[in-house]
Amino acid sequence: MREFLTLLIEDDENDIFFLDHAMKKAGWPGVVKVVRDGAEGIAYLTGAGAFADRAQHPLPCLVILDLNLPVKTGLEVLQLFRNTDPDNAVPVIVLTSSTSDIDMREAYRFGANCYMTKPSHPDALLEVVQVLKAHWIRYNQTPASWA
Amino acid sequence: MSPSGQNELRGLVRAGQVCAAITLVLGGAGVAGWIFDQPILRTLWKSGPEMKFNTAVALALTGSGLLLAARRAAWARSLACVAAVLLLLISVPTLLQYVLSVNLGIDELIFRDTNFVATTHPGRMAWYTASSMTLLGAGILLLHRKRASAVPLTQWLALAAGFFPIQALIGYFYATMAVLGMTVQSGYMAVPTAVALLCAVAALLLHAPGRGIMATLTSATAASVASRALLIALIIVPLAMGWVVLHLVRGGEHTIEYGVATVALITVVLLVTLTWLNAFRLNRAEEALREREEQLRFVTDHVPVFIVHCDQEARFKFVNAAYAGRFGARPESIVGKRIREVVGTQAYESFRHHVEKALGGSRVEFEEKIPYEQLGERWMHCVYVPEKAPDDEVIGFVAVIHDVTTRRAAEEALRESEEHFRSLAEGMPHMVWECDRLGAWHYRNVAWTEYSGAATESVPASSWLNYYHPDDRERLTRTWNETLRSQGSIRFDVEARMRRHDGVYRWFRVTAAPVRNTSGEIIKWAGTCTDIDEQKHAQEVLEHTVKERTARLRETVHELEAFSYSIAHDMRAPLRAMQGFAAILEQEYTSQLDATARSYLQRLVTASGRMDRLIVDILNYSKVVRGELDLSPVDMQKLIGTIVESYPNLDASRADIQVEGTLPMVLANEAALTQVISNLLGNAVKFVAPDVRPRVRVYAEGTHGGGEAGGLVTICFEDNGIGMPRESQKRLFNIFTRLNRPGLYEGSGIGLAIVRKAVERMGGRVGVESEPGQGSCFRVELQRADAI
Repeated sequence: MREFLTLLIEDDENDIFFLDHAMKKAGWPGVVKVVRDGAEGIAYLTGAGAFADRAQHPLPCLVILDLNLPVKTGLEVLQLFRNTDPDNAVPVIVLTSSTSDIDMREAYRFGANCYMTKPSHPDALLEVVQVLKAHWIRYNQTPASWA
Repeated sequence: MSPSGQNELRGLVRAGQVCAAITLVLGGAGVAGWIFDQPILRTLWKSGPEMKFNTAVALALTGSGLLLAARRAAWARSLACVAAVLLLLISVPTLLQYVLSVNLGIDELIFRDTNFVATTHPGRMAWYTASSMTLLGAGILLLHRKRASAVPLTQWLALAAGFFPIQALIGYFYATMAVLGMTVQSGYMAVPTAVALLCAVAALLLHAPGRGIMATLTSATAASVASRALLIALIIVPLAMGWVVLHLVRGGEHTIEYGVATVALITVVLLVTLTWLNAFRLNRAEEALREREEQLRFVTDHVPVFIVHCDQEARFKFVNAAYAGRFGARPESIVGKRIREVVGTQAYESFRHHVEKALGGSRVEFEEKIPYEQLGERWMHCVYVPEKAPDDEVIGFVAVIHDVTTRRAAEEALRESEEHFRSLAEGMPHMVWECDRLGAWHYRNVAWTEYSGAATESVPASSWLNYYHPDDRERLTRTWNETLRSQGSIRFDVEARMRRHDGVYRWFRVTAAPVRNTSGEIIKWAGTCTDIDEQKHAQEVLEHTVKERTARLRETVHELEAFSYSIAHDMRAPLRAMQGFAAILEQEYTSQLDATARSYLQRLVTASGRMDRLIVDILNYSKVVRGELDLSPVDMQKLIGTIVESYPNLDASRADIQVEGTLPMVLANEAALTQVISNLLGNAVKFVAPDVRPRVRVYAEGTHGGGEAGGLVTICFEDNGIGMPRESQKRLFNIFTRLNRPGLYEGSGIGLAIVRKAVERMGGRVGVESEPGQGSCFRVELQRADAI
């Protein structure tokens, strides 16, 4: 069984720091890889360019996606990823500061599995990370072939 | 005369013709009797005087003359005259023979009379027969005359001619020929001769039974009916009485005095009875007649027309009161006068030809200006109906006359008004047109002709649509038909393109309005076409500009909204970082800080927390204001339960929130309603006095506008909070309004602004009732989604 890989697509260094801080506190398993713009995110997810080698850059088990990204937006990343490989059921968690109805609707339409807004307080963020861990890592079941 | 009266008279005319035919047959039989030497055909009796040959020929001429005179054809009437002349050529010389005691040799001109009895002149007709024949011949000749006086004269001649055959028949009846001087010298009238002559007399009397002296007997009046009955009695009674006397005396049992006395008694009784019966019937009839006359007079005097009845010499036989009143007279003073005498010569001359035409048998109707001497010029509408006798002879006419001067004046005024309208319409730069009530064109002004280039006469009444742009025709037709159907209540006011003579289309405003008569009925439509081409183009340019600017404005507003949203949103990222790092400092490095530093750190955490709430609230408000709110039925009861469960500050451990009764389904946007309810409940549990456990009652207060879907329902949120003064309540729902000192109760002052905006955008209202220290009751009025 391979290592649990989380791909974090986020451009804000502070948010990366807080999430990493909360994940450590929550005991998030495996490895967390970070890409910092939408284009890079697409490249990783579709195995293009610098990320063509799947042995070095394997497909993640969970994606945490910000929407407000440079180069390509989070929604574009999501849409392209789901369209490129419709059978791929890698859960995508949208974690964003946007509370816009339109963003929510679009995210779910393009195949997001969960939509959460970034809490302001580190305690609240820790709670979110704990919930995510419990749900997607501990309890959520996926077919053996995905591993 | 009534139609039934006319029928009876026609029956009498036919009876007269039958009598004439009998005369002809008996005369013919006599002629045959002489030709074939058959005495029975000459006597029609076992013995007695025979019908002489001349008599037979004369009777045949009389019968045929009478039959021919009854026909309308001119040739028949002429032949009747020939027959009468031939008859006179036989009867007059015969009379001369008796008077001058000469023999002209005409008695046995054709046949010798070898079997003569009771005469001293073989072959000669009796003196009485010749007299009767002469009178009948003259009568038949007079039938040819058209003068009114000829009819009674003919009838008098017939009555005179009837005297002799009656005399002869009475003689035969009483078996004595010595009646009033009949002798062998004068000759005796044969039985068939007497019968034939009587038939001829009857035929002549019944030739025109409704006129002359016969009218007295044949009319439908009660007097005539009584007279007819009396006449029959007067003929039968004396004859019968005479027979009774003879019968009584001849037996030898009674004396002549007895016989006469008996007859006198019976005659007196019979005549008195008959006279009384007649008087009774006449009285009754006269009363009925007077009543009918009064009714007729009432009707004719009260109808708003003039009614006149004239005879064939244009004398008034009847005028109604209205007609007489025009000439300042009473009807009885006009009756009997000639028309000319009443209306004046000049007036009469102007319509005399119409009177003559009516008296010639034609119905006449005319409307003319008549120059009356007394009344001046008046427009009169007259209908003359000829009055005809049963033999179709015109005996007068009835006139129904209207004075139409007022109507004519109105028509003249209308014509002048029309002309005025025309001259006005022709001078106008607008196109003016008219059509009849069904929409057929009948007038276009010169502006129309010049624009279209079509001569007015060459345009068919139904072709108006062809002058409009094909794309506009359906709209024009539809609106026009609606206007016609609605009788003008839907106004015809359409903008359409109309083709100019050079093929260029220009925009026109086409309007039409109904023209009504005094009864309110539409008689025609008047319309105009106003050139609005330039305005139309200017309007199009304006509309385009407005559309363009609106789009630009909307874009700008959108950009501004996005900008403000983005600012608020982007402000959260650094704030979140500040909060985050402050929190980490507070949690993980607190041991390395002194009390002052910790205090500053605490202030930093509090301030950034407040800032975050403020931004979140502004974002929510912005979302409520600019976002699209789709409404759908929302279960209020369920929603409140969910909110209470998911918000920690509403937890049962901190507050008592009770939903009383059943809350209805409302028409709302679930997200916005969630925001509203959470804000209200949040406020309710927040704004309470220290040490007071928050208590909130939520209930539906009833419905307005009916209990059906679409009505309104009020949901009340009643708390036990600190309340607020009345004067503050007005600005409570304004943005950034805070009624308490900072630090006492945390808040951004946006929550209730969001509530109001969201409720209003969902078609509802929000209000509050509160007293300081008495709690508050917020009422949210929303559209109801289900029926009660």
